[in-house]
Amino acid sequence: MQIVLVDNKHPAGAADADCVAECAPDCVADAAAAGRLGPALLTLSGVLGFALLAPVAGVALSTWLLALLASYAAGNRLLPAALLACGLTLLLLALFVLGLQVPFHLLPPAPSVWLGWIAGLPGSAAP
Amino acid sequence: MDLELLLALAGPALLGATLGTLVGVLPGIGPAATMALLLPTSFALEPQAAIVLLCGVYFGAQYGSSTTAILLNLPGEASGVVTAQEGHRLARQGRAGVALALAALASLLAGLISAALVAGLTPWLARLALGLGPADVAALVLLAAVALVCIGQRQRRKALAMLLLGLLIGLVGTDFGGGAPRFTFGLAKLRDGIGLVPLIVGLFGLGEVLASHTGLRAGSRIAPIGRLWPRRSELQASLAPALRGTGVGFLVGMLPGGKTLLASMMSLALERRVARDRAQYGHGALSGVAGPEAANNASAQAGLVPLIGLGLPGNPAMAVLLGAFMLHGIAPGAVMFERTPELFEAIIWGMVLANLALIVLNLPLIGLWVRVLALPLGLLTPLIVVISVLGVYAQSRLPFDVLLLALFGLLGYLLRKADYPLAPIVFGAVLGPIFEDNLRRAFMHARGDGLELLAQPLVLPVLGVVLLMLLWPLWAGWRRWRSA
Repeated sequence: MQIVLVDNKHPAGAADADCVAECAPDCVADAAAAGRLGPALLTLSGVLGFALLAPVAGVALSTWLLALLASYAAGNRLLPAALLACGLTLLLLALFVLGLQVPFHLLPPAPSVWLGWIAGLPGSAAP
Repeated sequence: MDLELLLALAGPALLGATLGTLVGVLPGIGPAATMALLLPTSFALEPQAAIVLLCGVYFGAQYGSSTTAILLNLPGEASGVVTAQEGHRLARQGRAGVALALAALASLLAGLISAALVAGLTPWLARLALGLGPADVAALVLLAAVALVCIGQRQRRKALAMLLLGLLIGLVGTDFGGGAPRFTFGLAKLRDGIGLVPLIVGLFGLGEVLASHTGLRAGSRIAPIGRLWPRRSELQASLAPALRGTGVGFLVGMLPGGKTLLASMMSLALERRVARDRAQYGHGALSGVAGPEAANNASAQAGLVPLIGLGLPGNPAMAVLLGAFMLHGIAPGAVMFERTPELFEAIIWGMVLANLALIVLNLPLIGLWVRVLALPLGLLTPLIVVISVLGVYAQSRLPFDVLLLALFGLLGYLLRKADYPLAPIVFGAVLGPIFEDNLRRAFMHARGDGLELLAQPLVLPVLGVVLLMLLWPLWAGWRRWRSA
């Protein structure tokens, strides 16, 4: 059975990483993956995008964008990455909202206020 | 111990052991980062259930690592490196199942003995700690920090630099003596200091993912599992190594800076020395799996003795556990034994349950973990990133913490590239405020007289050991230079 793994260097230190390399003589460097900064920057921009967009565009949308960028950076094509992002967003929002009881706003805050006001929900003030 | 509490702890123990095994098996996110991510969840639980959940993650990660070490020769955790040496050779001979079963049984034996030892030793240590003043505690914290830098680190200067960086991060926030903001750069959001969760998840979780994007990838073959249950003769041959490994691991784990990797290495060295047939080493020795596996589990659990007895964490995972104690308003040490003695009892039973859960999870379900290993990187990486970001955001609901996460993720990536160890940063950030608090109180008690501090019973001997640890490499280097 052939599988592909990242080189899981232990974060505790270089000595451990050396041991890993020594213990895994079968490891082969993937020339295509080595030294690529683009995916790392894409993932990082996803995290930054989440931090900037979550308060104004809603956690669901920010999570989807983050998952899309992280998934694309991990080597998926755009369409599978978008589908994967949808699945991850629904799964994780369900986990955090239902499991951890963390009240996330699924819509951006501004439309939420408008919709609440139009629907006449209690506690919804006019925008 | 009533049955109701035991049943209440069974769920967190099983969940913790499952998550721990998962992070031990999967590359990317380590036990410290997983425990940090679970901190907000643990806040919703009873204190004993929360601590048992986090302990289960830590113990489970130690075992999960041995699965990849034996089957793939790629340890998920540092301590698995030692198991891989003999374990993977056994796997190549078609005896992977036996190696996995022996690793699990040795871990179980070590876990149960260690739980008994923790139960016996910790209250005794806490009673001893009652006689310690703030100056003694400050000296012990200093010893713990320096030991982490000096023991088992190849690059001491880099580790020392990272410890100082961690101390600087720990200084950010409001000065609890005078109330003045320190290193906040005028940002009100930094007045409460930098949270442990964005720091640890950023350095160990996101940093690892960023590094995996640009780094090495390995193509490895999973060895066939073969027969799972060991024969009676194999069990008999592994019993003594497992017991020796437990002893070595427990002693190393209790020391400040004692790492599971160090415990496993010492156990393997001991087994090589006492083996009747030394030639079997290098060709797949069962004692080379049972000893180190028992040692790393015993070492992981022994870390609870200084943590609960003195409030001193021995590694990043224990530092997160200390954070969980603090979140629940519990101060480890003698006060905990006076106010909430039932909590300690629950933790001990939780340890026993977590170890039993590991056996249930790992032996019958080994095939499932092997399948988890085959998950494609394209699915794993976004999952880790999104869980990290949502976990940090859910904990504080502050976008600023997500920005901090990105910053620490980038820092972790750059430091990894430059070959710097990351664990001392977490140590500095956790131990710095404890050290400062105790040092200030010590100076207040002594009315600013530094000489009076030195007169405290533990201060001078501990400072002597600290100086010895710091100066020993210089002395050794000078001797080498002189002989050359």
